[in-house]
Amino acid sequence: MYKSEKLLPYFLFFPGIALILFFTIVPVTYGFYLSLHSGGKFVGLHNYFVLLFADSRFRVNAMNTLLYLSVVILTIPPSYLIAHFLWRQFRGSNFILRAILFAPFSMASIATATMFRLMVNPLFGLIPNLLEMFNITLNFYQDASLAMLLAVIHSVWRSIPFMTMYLLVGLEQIPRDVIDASRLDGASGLKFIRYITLPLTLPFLMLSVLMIFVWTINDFEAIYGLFRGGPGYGTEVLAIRLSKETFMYANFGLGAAIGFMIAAMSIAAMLFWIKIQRRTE
Amino acid sequence: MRSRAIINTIIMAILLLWTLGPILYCLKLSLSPHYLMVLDFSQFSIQHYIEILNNPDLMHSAIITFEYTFITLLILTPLSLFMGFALAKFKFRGQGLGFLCFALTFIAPIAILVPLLTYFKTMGLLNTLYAPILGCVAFFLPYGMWMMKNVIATIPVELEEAALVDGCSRLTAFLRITLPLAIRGILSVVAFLFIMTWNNYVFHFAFISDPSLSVLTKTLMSLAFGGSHGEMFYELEAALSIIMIIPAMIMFLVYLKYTEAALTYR
Repeated sequence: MYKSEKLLPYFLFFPGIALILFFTIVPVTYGFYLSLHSGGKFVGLHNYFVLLFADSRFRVNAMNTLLYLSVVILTIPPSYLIAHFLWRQFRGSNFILRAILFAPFSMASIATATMFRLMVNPLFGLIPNLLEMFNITLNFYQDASLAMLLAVIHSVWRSIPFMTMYLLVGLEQIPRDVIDASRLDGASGLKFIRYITLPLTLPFLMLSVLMIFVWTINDFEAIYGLFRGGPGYGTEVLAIRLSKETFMYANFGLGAAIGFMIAAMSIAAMLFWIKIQRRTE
Repeated sequence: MRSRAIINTIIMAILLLWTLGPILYCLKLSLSPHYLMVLDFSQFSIQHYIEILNNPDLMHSAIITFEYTFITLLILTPLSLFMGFALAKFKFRGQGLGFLCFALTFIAPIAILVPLLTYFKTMGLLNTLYAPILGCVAFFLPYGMWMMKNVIATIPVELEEAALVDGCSRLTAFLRITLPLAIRGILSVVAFLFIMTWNNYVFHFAFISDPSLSVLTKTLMSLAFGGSHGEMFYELEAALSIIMIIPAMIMFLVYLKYTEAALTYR
């Protein structure tokens, strides 16, 4: 083999790697550096202290983010059941059915957020109209907790297809004879899930949970598309606050500090993910 | 067994309703002349879709979106293809960086928005489409690379070796032999990257303020929160979001069709 051929993979691989690192690790470090500054002056950890101890709005943001994270938990049971249902009923694959059920995965969060927002419009929306039949009047546009509920439902609606797809991959890797043997031993229904499929798909479940966790704390588009963080600070999660600090108040130090907090949580999840992924391979 | 079938049908119906409900409602709204309180099929009209086609701003926005997606894919596809090729068919130092970079997709653009803003300001790319293009290339490259690796790894190396014996170089052997064989998997990766690029909003929100460069996601958002006099365009919004998801859904069909070889996370 010629010498140039030996160098080939390096030429193919490293320019792209440099680009990726330049846009991930470097900005995280640089973002930390920026978060130590305020108005161009070095202020140490001041921005973090302000956020954590002197900013009541930040507490609301953190609380909202925690509430929004309930998406992760709420996605698991339905995805698990749907994956099971599809796996048992449609062994092999039913292309059209999958295409329809997984479609939300492919839609822009801005577009689906618009759909959900229109669906609860107080003037003509489907949900207020349905509730009116039971003499319940709810205004999703003004009630902060209802807006948050809608954000969570929207996000669950978007996450279920992803987790279902992921779990199906896991389920389809279970060897046929394992299933037959468990059937012979009398495992059925919930017992079958509890003792056979759950343990065997646990890595897939954990990996997808970690991914949805990270997407949820980093979620800007879906929440911004619904009510732009409103009403009031009702759905203002960390990511929305970050964008407002950066673009509305030009408070780059605070923006960078919030960003670094989110990045740190994401990296923690990433390390877990790497550990599990390594073990499954 | 009969009751089993009925239960299955009911579950299926609920699933489809849950998944398609919001979309169907939006479709209905986009076809109504004015927001109708009741479902009235006799009054359906496509006037809002025609309105979109006749609106120069909206059409311009659609064209911009296609352009931006096309250019991004034009850079992203060969880059991820070659990186995937290197990862799948070579052993070399620093290969482990591939997996690490794939894991780095956990760092989302929003968390590093401020440093990225400084980057693009320094490069003088703010308010040009190059900022979102570069952003999309950098952030979707790990997905592209990893999925391409999985696709290419399914093609047996013996075929390439036969071409090497016949005097091809590694690169030509790859381009002539492996590439045509892997084309379906590659298509599915490209479809996936198309969806991600087409749907992106964050980069456009953050780095572009010029309304003549606004892509469909951004145009939809400006419609959603009212015109300059506070007027609302509910039906137009609904119609635009339906139009927006169509290209992504077509690409999703391509992705699903050819994905067996390219399962995203393996």
